[in-house]
Amino acid sequence: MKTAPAIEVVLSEGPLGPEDAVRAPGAGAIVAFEGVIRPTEEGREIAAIEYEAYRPMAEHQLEALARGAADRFGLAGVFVRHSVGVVPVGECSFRLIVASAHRAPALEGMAWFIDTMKRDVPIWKRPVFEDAQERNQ
Amino acid sequence: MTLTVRLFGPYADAHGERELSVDLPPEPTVSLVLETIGSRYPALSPLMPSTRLAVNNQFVPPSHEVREGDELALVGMVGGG
Repeated sequence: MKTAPAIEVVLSEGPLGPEDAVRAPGAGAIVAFEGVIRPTEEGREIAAIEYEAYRPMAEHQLEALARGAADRFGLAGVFVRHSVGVVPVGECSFRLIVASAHRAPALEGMAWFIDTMKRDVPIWKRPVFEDAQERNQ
Repeated sequence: MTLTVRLFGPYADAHGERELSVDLPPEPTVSLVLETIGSRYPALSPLMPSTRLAVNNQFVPPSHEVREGDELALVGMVGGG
């Protein structure tokens, strides 16, 4: 009997910290992707990115997306973490871990998930520029 | 009926508030709601071409009819990840 995929979605305030290894029943491939804040945005130096989420819909859409990826690519697990609020440069704001029996579906499922997320999940980002932050001090 | 629509990100920035109200005939379609918002609130009209109306946390087709008590939000270009 086919085991239901492990699905986990967490939105949390501020940068994402390290986390324990993830396992899923029957998975031989665990692929992890991290989105990290780059030092520039629109060609200007930034101090951080501020994420705003329409939280109930973002959680709903991320969960639906995780289930959709699991169904479409036959995945054993999809684990999603996304920051809300301010995330400084160099810190992690998004983490996607995908588990499957073999690597190809995990890699394809990951790409599909991220492309679709960037279109359908109501999370917005606003750069916090270095010079703006200096003026506020 | 008077609908309240929640705004986030660029919509809240353009409108200056986190929600707006719009008067419409009973059970308007999503496309009528979006069209009315675009004409009633000029500051939002540049954003409207890429805008979808989220109804109760989901995207729905333009022909969907909005009902009293539905939670509505404008969602266009997003930027997660």
